[in-house]
Amino acid sequence: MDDDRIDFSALDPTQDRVRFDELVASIMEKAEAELGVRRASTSPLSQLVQWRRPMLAAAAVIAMVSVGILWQVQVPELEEESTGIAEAIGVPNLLAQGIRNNDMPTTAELFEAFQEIQ
Amino acid sequence: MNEEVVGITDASLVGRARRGDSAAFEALVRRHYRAAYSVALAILENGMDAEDVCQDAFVKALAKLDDCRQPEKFVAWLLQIVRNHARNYRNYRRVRLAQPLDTLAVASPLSSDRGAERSELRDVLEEALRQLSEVQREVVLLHDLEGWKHRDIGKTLGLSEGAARQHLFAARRKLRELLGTETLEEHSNG
Repeated sequence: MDDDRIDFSALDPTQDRVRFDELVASIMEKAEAELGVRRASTSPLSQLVQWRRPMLAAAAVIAMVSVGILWQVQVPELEEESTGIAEAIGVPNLLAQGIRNNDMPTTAELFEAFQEIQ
Repeated sequence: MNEEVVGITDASLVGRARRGDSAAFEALVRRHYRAAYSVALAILENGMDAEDVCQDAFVKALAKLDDCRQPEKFVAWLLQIVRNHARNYRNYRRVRLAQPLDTLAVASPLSSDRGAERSELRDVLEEALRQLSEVQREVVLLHDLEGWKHRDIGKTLGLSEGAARQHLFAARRKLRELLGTETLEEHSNG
């Protein structure tokens, strides 16, 4: 600190404690509405409300992606499953393919299939 | 003011005030009121107007608190709001003063507990400060009333430390010429 300082204490708004407290109280009174809004916006309920829209959007995206993945995955699984069942009950591959494609087997194919079983 | 906020940084108080903590905001007001007042007084050259502007500036600062990107530099941000608000008020006052006198509001009386001597001294100081440039007023008030260092004053005013020092030197010299050593000594002795 230097000694050349000019004493401005007569201008100091904090010197008169009572008046300064009144000034601060006046500011706080004017600020109370804004502080109240801020308090309300940080309550757990309002936080949930604030996150509702992004959460719904995220859920929608996840649902769309899941449906897409399931659609791609399910088609080959069904095919594998049908082949698996046909094999399990002992239907020859040649016949099973014919049934899936809705084709009537020829006599030669039937003969071949029976030979496969034996 | 409650003692629990004394050692807490501005950044922490700003964070709490953003969440609506009244005590934190009050602490910021008490901590920086004098600096805000110094800036407002430097621009408006009138204590009562400076008080009004400070009040509004603090409320405005609270409303815009989320825009304060560097809460550790809250005071610099606040003083910019005070500066803008004071300049707007000064322009508004010029327009008002250009109107006929009977449309002007009557100034509110000073609080009764303020001594006449103190009031007189304040008037003398305010009158002397009016003879300085705006930047000189701001520098001398922030330094001698608020106790800021040259470097911080330079930063908030966009000046170099040396320039802030020069403004302070010139301001003090002029004030001493205007007020006279006698007045300053009487004043210092209370």
